[in-house]
Amino acid sequence: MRAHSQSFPQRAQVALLDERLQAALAKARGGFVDKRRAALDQLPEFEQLRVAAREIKEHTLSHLEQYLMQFEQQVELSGGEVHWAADPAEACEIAVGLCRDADAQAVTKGKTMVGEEIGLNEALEAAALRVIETDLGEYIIQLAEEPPSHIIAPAVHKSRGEIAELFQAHHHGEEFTRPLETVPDIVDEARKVLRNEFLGADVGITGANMLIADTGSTALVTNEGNGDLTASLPRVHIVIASIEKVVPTLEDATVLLRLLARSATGQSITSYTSFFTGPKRSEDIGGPEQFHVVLVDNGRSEMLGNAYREMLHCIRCGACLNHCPVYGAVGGHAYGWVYPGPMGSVLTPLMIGLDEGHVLADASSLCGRCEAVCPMSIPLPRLLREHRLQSHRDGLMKPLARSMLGFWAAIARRPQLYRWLVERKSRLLHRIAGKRGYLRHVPMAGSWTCSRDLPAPQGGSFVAAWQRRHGGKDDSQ
Amino acid sequence: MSSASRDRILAAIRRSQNNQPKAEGSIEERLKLRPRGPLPSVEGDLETVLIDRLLAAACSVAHASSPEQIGEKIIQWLQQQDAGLKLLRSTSPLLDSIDWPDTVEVYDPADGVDHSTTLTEAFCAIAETGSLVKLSSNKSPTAMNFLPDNFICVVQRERIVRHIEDAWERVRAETEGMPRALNIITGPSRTADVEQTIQLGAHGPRLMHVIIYCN
Repeated sequence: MRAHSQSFPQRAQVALLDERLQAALAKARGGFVDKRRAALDQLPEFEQLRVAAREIKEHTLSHLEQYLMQFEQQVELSGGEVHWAADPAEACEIAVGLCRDADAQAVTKGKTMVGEEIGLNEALEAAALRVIETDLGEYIIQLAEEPPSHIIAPAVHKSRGEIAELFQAHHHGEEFTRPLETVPDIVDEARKVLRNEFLGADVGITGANMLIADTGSTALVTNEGNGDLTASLPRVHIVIASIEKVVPTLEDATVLLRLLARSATGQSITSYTSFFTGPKRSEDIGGPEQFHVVLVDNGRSEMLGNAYREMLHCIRCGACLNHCPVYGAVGGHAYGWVYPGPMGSVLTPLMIGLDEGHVLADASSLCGRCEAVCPMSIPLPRLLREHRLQSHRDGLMKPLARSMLGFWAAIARRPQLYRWLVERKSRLLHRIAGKRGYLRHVPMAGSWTCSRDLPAPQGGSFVAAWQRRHGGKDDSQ
Repeated sequence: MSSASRDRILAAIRRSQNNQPKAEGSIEERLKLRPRGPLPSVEGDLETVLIDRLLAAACSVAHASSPEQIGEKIIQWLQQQDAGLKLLRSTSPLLDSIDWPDTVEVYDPADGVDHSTTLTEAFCAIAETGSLVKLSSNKSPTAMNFLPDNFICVVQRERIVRHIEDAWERVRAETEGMPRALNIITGPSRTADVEQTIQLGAHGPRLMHVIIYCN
């Protein structure tokens, strides 16, 4: 998928004015946040689990090479095969090759964010394969030819009416004629359409929420059961997973599972939590004859050794998206690539390049809600700041912003001058505002004041007030 | 090509690992001891907790104390749902011992017919989450858990465990390694992909009926 992250400011503008999108976002926002809160209230052990989860990730990442090799060995022992892909192109090549070897024509897919990351659908379609997404949200956006706008609710930006229109355009004709007025109508029609696809597919491709080194299993959580039908009915099951998904044991996976569904949808567990180990056993009725795991690196082995290592703790629950004021205002498409929200603003520049993605790190007030709700305690604001620092070092900032910032920094490093200027400026603003107490327009801040007023300073500076209260003593000393 | 990438990726990981402080604990120890994380408290009678959570997950629940009663309860439930008296049944000593009246059509997985109602026996149930655990085998293919409209699952009362970890212990004690598919099933299939409205019966079962068996 081509990245459009550079145009975040323009896309955000459009998103803010899009009434349909704003209605959909407003609907989603409360739901996710409230459900998560309620689920956490039921689990007093949440903080303990968070600490344990962090320890699991730190342990696994510091032995990642060995755990991946252990995983590979166990997959092979159970009759499966592991493939290693350094980058998206190689991962796609492997998946297409496996489909060709199986003489496949039709491929069903469960939702996989790594699949989106590597542009798998495009590659499969370019190889003349028929690809059907089976997660309802993914299916909807596949029909709409759009990327997902949320990592766990890909079609969260679509209204019921828009989905009904899409279904009418794509299904209606001979077989389906029923009007699609209610949510059950829509879900039912998707069930019927996709049931045939499940039964007719040659290859099923799913992602993995975790890889279990001890047993060589891949874990998959879904609510719809689409992942299980994708994994169980076709002749070949291919799992696409990134290398940081490995955990040592089923016990370790269990700790993460307890955090995942609660943080994502507010469920204590999803309807289906499945572990796939190898292909079908010789005596089994049904199940795939081949089991392949494609391990994707795509920059992660490098992240492991740099300042962004903690981003590899991410379990893709989406809590940071759901709690982000920026995501909540503009939705996922504004971010212009696969991963939106705070986790996306950290990952995207690492995967598509800082020059293309650095604006995402700027689009944050660093309010810290993302870190507060992250079940893995990833310091997302710190990682965003890291991107800002790096883009400043790389000279990616616009010249005007850069020189303004340089000017500000020069003054800020001279406390006396800084305070003198601030005092003057507050007094001036106070006087201009007069009795109203706020300013409608401020020179050079037009884009800020076009949608809100600037409250005028009410008196002296913070430092002056502090000194008054503490008699000139500095408490920090 | 792939094996060259394998070596390259592993080498890159090793380089990065060497840059970073090592976390505590050895791999061998972890894989041998399989330490458990913090366990959510599950208080009281396991069966009561299980039923509570099954109901919360939109399952219906019944009890049976003999194989005949399992049959009766199933017929009763199917009639309540206006479903046909026709079912695909996985094989297990308990399910095989049910004597079905002539009014019920019963098929084996090998017959591979109509999946509108399936009857299977769970490996165990987990009180913590209100889940049933299913292991794939020649007697109980995975598709039976996901294709039907009506999914009926019998679990023996002594096979209710407290935590997910207890299920792992049972799997290790009673099977030869992991099966091809292990499913932890918590209620019927559902989706919230249309306007965050929860709708049951997305791709898998629309209804899930659990029978707790104790003779």
